[in-house]
Amino acid sequence: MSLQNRTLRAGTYLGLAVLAGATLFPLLWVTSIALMRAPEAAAGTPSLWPHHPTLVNVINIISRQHLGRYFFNSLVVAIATMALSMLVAGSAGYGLARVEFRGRRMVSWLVMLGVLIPNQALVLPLFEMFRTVHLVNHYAALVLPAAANPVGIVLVQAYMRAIPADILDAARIDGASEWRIYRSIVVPLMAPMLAAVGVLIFVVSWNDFMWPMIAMQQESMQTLPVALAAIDREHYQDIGLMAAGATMTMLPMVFVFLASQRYYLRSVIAGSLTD
Amino acid sequence: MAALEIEHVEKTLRSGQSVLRDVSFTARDGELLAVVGPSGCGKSTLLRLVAGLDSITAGVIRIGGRTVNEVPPQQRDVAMVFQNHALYPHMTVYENLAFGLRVRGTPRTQIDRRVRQTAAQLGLEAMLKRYPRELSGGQRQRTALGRAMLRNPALFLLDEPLSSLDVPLRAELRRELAALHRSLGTTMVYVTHDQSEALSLGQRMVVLAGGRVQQIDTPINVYHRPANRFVAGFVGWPPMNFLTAESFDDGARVPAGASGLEYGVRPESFSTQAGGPDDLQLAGRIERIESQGSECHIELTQRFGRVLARLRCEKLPRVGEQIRLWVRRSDLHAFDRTNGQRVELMGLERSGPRPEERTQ
Amino acid sequence: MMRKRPSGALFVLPALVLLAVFVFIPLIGVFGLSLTDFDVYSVANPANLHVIGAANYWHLLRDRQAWQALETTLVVVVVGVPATLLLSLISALMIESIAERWRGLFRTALFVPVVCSTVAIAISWRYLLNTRFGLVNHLLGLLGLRAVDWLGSPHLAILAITIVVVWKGFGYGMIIVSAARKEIPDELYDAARIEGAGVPHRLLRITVPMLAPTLGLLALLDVSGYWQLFAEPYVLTQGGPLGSTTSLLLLMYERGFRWWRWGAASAIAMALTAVMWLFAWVQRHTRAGWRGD
Repeated sequence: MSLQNRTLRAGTYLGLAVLAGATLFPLLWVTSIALMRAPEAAAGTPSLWPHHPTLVNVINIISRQHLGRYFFNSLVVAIATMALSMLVAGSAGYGLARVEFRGRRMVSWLVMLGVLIPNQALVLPLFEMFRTVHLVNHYAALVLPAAANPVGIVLVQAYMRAIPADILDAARIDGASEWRIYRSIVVPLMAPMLAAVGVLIFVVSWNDFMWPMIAMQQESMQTLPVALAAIDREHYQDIGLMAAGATMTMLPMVFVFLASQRYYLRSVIAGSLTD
Repeated sequence: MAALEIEHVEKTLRSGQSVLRDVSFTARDGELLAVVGPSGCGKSTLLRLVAGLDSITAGVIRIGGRTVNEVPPQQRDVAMVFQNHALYPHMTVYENLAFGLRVRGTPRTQIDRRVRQTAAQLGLEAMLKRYPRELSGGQRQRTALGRAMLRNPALFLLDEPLSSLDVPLRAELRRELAALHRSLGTTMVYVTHDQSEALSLGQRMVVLAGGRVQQIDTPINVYHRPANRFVAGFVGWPPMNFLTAESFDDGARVPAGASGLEYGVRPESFSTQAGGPDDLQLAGRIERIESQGSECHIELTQRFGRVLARLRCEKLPRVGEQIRLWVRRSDLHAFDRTNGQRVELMGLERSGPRPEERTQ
Repeated sequence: MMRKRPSGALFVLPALVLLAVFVFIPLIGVFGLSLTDFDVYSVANPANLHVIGAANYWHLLRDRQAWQALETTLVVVVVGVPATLLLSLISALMIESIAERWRGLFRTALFVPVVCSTVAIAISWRYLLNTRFGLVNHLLGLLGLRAVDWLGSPHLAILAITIVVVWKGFGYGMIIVSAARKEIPDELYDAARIEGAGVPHRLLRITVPMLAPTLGLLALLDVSGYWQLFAEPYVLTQGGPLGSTTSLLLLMYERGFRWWRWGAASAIAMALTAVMWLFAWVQRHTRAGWRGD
């Protein structure tokens, strides 16, 4: 290898290391602050590492700010949204890709149009709708609109198109009913993409902010990011406390991502190919 | 077991494109009928119509005497083998074979017995726990066949089942398929674009082109008495030469209506010696000699075009030299120039096929 | 068709109902609301509601706050999107050029911010950027520079928010570009090398043109994401100082849920949606040109 190539390669590794450091540092630092006592957290010379690690911030935010409650709300909403989205996107994606019916093109087009509608621009009428049916401050107010996610449908649809139609015809000739084909053939075949869509929607739902803030006016129904923002307005001076809250909001998703990376990244990549 | 009757079947797509036009033929009970045609001729569509995967625009399809136009695929008592196998990728060979019986609610013990029996018949016993991706091409095809056999259908539909295999394997499976057909005795409709496959496998063959039936007959008759210019050119390899009367030295001796006729001569009908006094002669310059081992393909040019002849390689002139070829009058096929239909000429009646003439 | 049975529509029905109720009807609702003077009095008594036609839109055109919000949002898009694309591209190409076994590690590291809650990220960055004990200023101090009030001055605040947005977002594009880079056949690079093309040439003549369609799509994704900027200014600056970081969506939220001026807020929401469709239209119509390279 030439000297030039070796320099280039060393430079690449160095560049990546710096980039990765810059990406991870804010997250690691806030975690570190979460474990510091107040004087150390607000010291004029920032401390990188908690010299006297403590869980007092974590204990405070859980006991005084009821973080457990918000955590539970977030979990319920994210799981329900994920489950409903997978059901809806799975059947619709399959239906649009592989079943003939009147109006299929129209529905396909509507789904594509749905992708282009910024859902945060819809919060005013949505709020009015949920207020009218008295579902504000209910989990349903977060789960139902989030499950109307056209991206999941588009992803499953594209994935199903790549599966030979012959397999479904073979099952039809084998005597399977439409429902049986869906259950025994289609669902197992699209399971990898369904899992990808599930993880994606789980994370999106967990992190969603504007609509949950509007729809969950009652404190006990708030999700983590909403509660965190509310606590922040009051306690932003308490650096350790807020750092603990931020860390505890982010960490679950980091773990979810690390555990399901393969599926999660699949949905990201597929999203760029379906256009 | 059942016969398949297709009567005046039409298929027009929603776009208005006509895929099949007035197609009629019958696959007799227990027959292996080959449907052959170039790609896009509608043969796969035809199979899907018979299977019930698509619906017909007009006409009647009867299986075992029962009209099935409106019957869904699972109630037609047909089994289908697909071009790329269409095995369920997430199921083992065993599960693939068992699926059709399972959805019909067959008792578990009976499923097991029949799956194992069929697997044994196809030499797949050792593969039962494998997934399709772990199988070779031949094993996949056998599994697909087995899946169809297990259903014990009245009618087998095979859509280019061998086209995804390499050549030696294809020949082997072709023999197996023929043997299987003999032992099962079930009616089979075998769709292929490969005319040699249709010739060797079919008891009778249907030649399809442009959505229309061109000819239905035994392979020997299709080969020796092609119904029209298309069939003549499509069936047989290398393809038939089409010549005009002037191509022959003594064009005047070519019978009647010479101006409105086109003459077909198969490459293997040429010989380097006169066989009899009535033989026609034709001369040209050798352009190319391609050895096929035992035989040579000779391409010669004439004033009126190119001619391909299949001859023994011994004692041939060299490239660039002149060559003289003879054709028996009975090996001449005549076609009407205007509509391409075969014309039976007086004095040109064939003496009947000579067995040694058969290719394949 | 034999398969044209009601069952086909049944598969799609749940999705269609959800989309209709929670996307399309609200979209019509926003449009409808934008034509009214729906405000806090109408909430109490619908009789106070009046259809006022395009008046909300005319007001918007003469509304300095709205123009400022548009400017703020555009700055984040115009500065942030190219920066994000560049970072996504560079990091993806670097990752694709190193040994296979290290790629996963770096990919994961750069992607982590994408899955983190924006609220939590904003809180974290507020401490990093803190004037007194923030690490960024401390580093500047070590370099002999003066401490900067990042979130306290109008020009820097929007820059700080852009930095946070880019930092959180580029990992997403990195994954997509990285996948697209894998699709470029190695033969192209081999051929270019045989013809004597060096590293810069290969980058500019092969890699970048081949990635152009992907970058184009990514640009649209980034634009539509940044166009909906909300949580970062909400947490970091509450839209200040002097409204300098109030994005369009934040303005809509404040008009709608703080002042209950729903008609005016809906007009902003409609304008936001319309511009996003414009972005999508532009992207679709320039893509053909990029493909032709």
